[in-house]
Amino acid sequence: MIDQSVIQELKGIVGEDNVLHNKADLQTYEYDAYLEKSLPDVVVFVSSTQEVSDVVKAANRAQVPFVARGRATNLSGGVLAMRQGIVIELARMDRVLDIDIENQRMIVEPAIYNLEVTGAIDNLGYYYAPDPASGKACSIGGNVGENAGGPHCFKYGVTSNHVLGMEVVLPDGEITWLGGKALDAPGLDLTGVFVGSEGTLGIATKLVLRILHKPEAVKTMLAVYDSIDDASNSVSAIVSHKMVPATLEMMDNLVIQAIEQSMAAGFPLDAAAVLLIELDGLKDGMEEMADKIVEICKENNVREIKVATCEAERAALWKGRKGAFGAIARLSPNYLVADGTVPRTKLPETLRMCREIGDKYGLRVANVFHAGDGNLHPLILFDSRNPEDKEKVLKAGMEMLQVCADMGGTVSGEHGVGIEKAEAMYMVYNEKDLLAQEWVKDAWDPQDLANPGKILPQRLIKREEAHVS
Amino acid sequence: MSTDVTKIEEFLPLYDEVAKCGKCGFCQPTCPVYRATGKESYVARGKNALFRNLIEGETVMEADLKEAFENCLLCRACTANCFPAVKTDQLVVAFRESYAQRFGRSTIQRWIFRNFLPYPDRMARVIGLAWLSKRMGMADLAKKIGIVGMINPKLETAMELRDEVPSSFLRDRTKNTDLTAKGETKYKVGYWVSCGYNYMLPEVGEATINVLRHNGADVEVLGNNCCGLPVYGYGDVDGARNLAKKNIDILGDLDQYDYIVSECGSCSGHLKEYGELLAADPEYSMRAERLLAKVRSFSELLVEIDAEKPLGEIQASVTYHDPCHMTTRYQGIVTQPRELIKNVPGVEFREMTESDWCCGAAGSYNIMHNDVSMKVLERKMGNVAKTEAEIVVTECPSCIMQLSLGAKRQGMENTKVMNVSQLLDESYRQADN
Ligand SMILES: Cc1cc2nc3c(=O)[nH]c(=O)nc-3n(C[C@H](O)[C@H](O)[C@H](O)COP(=O)(O)OP(=O)(O)OC[C@H]3O[C@@H](n4cnc5c(N)ncnc54)[C@H](O)[C@@H]3O)c2cc1C
Ligand code: SF4
Ligand code: SF4
Repeated sequence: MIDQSVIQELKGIVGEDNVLHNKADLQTYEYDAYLEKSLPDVVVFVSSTQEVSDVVKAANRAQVPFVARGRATNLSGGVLAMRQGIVIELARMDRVLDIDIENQRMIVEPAIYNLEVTGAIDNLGYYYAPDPASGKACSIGGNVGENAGGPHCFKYGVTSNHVLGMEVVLPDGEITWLGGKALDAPGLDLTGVFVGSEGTLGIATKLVLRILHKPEAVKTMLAVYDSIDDASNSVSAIVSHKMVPATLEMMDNLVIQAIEQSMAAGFPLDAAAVLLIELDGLKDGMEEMADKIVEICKENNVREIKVATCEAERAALWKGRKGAFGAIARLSPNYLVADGTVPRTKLPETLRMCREIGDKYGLRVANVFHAGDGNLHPLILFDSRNPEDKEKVLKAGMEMLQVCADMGGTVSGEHGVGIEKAEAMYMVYNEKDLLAQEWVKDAWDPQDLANPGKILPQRLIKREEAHVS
Repeated sequence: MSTDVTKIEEFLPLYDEVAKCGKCGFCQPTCPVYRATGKESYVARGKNALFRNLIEGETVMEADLKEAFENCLLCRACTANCFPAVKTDQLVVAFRESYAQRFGRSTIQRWIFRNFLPYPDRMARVIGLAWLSKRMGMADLAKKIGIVGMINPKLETAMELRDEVPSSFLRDRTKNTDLTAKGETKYKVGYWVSCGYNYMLPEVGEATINVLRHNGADVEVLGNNCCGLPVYGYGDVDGARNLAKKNIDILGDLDQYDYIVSECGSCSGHLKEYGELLAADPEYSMRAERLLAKVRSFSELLVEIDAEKPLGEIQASVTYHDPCHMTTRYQGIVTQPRELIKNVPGVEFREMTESDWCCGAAGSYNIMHNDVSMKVLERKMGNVAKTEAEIVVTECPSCIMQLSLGAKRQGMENTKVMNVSQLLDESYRQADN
């Protein structure tokens, strides 16, 4: 239990109303989009860098852990207060601070929604490229925390390629800048270290984003297949022909069913898989590229290819893809996403093995994923009201990650490690690799107060312990 | 506290509903209350988590939980953005009902719900007295008595807002006036009297009746009670059912009307949901279904009967605010009001961003949670201001009052707020003159 004097001190920093600590309030900060819970001691709403710094300093004085919270949509337990302590709620730091069109840069506060970044520059003809399917509900700060990706990241790269610098409150409360507006800051790439660190190295309070000019032309196609293997082979073939579509997204039959049930996006119900392929860039050459892709798909037994003829048709196709995770909710109350990556050529085999794991446990598995990156998202369906189901799901998830690792891939595509995949780190790293990561963490946060118990398996707090509250 | 508060039996039927919430957080960005505060307990995900904890015994019914469930506009924006479409508004009402049953609604509130709302003449007397005291410069006294606010808090805000006091209620005004169709009679329309227009904005009702008559309707002013929505919002579901049944009785033989119309989105919306409210009662739910077939919101009816094109010119830029109960989240009457507005000669229509976001009036909300309500309103007025429209049109008395308050607070003195029917009426009148 946190000392009352700490709570008083926090109230002194941010004001009485901005500190929550009754049980009802705390119970709404004990979860994120993952499956576990851990009750924090206190939640503090901050509204400036200075306040973040003061709160972190107070936490240091009292030796109380803290965790930065964006919009709590992460899928790996990233914002759970595993050792209780303080949740630093950034929700009110959501402003656009600067739009610098000439230099294609923008400065924002961390809690701004991903989609609202593009919303702020859309009429100027610009956009922010990383497009997680959760874009309307997740924050840029959280994207930085998880190094979020999305369909368009196949061509444009993930969050780390688009966040060039940031103001950070370090784990001891000091305020500093990492990187800046320039593409390549001299010296060690600390921005790169910070992106994807899941709040374990400090809290970003301002972010310098790279913004891009909207492409001159876009072409969106839906390729329908009677077999997953054919769809996967098409993906490999497209890439090996040195073509870089903006997106290469695959959805399997179960996902198609779910999407059609919830929003009628126009995906054929009896298809084994569909590929959503989007090309963007200059008008010049786009037709040829599209023709070539159609040809490749045909060589790989595509059943039919629909090309969106207008913005509305394109939007409908995307609505289906963007809503896929959510639509799964129609099939069953809960799901776990096993987010792993394999070399593209191993896709068919990996998918088959994941399905077998599901069968073994009697669990349904739906697939929607970034095929271009080989980034799988098997969604394992269950009902969290049934504790046995939950155990089975966690086991199945781990086995699927093991498959990814065995295939020469890795255990986290874009959803972070958090608590979910800390154990799975052993599948891809040996003791020495992990030690190197330990050193980094120790250098930044020697007191282990910034989001403790995440990522690094030695620091994982066992679930049984975490539940005490 | 008695020990039985830990078992919330009545929530069990909602367990499947609440278990659908996958905590994805997609309900956050469009929840007006969450956007104004950033508090997780105010967004659907937070409410669902607490509700589930109640069912699973992870928490008990206690005062701290009340705040979470009080802070909801019942606007359904969360459900509209939720893939499993969790009906958070139903959980909220269930909580409010159960909380009141356990800890008691204030006795005075209960007394008012049972002794005034079902009796229009008593209502009229009390509100009449309150207006009278305001007219005599004793506005504070009226407010102190507080009874108006409890009958319907919107009415109280309206009283504070309105500078000139309406000389009489709509019901009285329509007593000795001609209500027959102008020209050939094409329809018989039952005009539903909403409390907001009756007691606070009678001129809107007059405009509506005028427009209906203009379009060949013989109008009958119905003897209805309050539709019951405010009572429902408070979580007095039984009280709301009683009002619904009483209203169905008062309307009697529905075949005498071609349509029953209300230019209050909340009334028309709630009337359409009587069937669901009375589902457990076979007789009344059947009658409610029959009522459903007759009820129309004002804009819905006018488009359906292909209203006469207004010819009087109104040179103004106009924007439209969708009342919650008119949006796709409730009645889904979205294109009709816009069509009617655009049809008025001279009008330049300007769509506003987030036009279907709640304005923050929502039942008792603007009274009980004034600061949050005002923040929700600020966002709305910001969007209104961006259109630079001279007139904001809507179809709900609470919205009219709330938006007028917003305009006043933001120093937008020249922005007029009116009902769709008033815009049409003005155009018809100009053409007639
Ligand atoms: C339906 C659904 C679909 C999804 N689709 C995708 C997808 O396509 N691609 C994808 O990558 N992810 C996806 N996600 C996962 C999730 O949306 C992302 O991980 C997102 O980046 C999390 O953002 P958030 O604001 O919710 O962060 P949170 O969950 O609040 O935080 C995530 C992590 O970042 C840390 N953090 C938050 N703010 C800061 C800050 N200012 N400084 C430092 N650390 C911080 C937190 O401590 C935590 O460890 C999806 C999730 C859902 C529910
Ligand atoms: S959008 Fe629906 S499922 Fe997602 S958190 Fe909100 S209520 Fe739950
Ligand atoms: S009904 Fe409206 S106010 Fe209530 S939780 Fe849902 S979105 Fe928020």
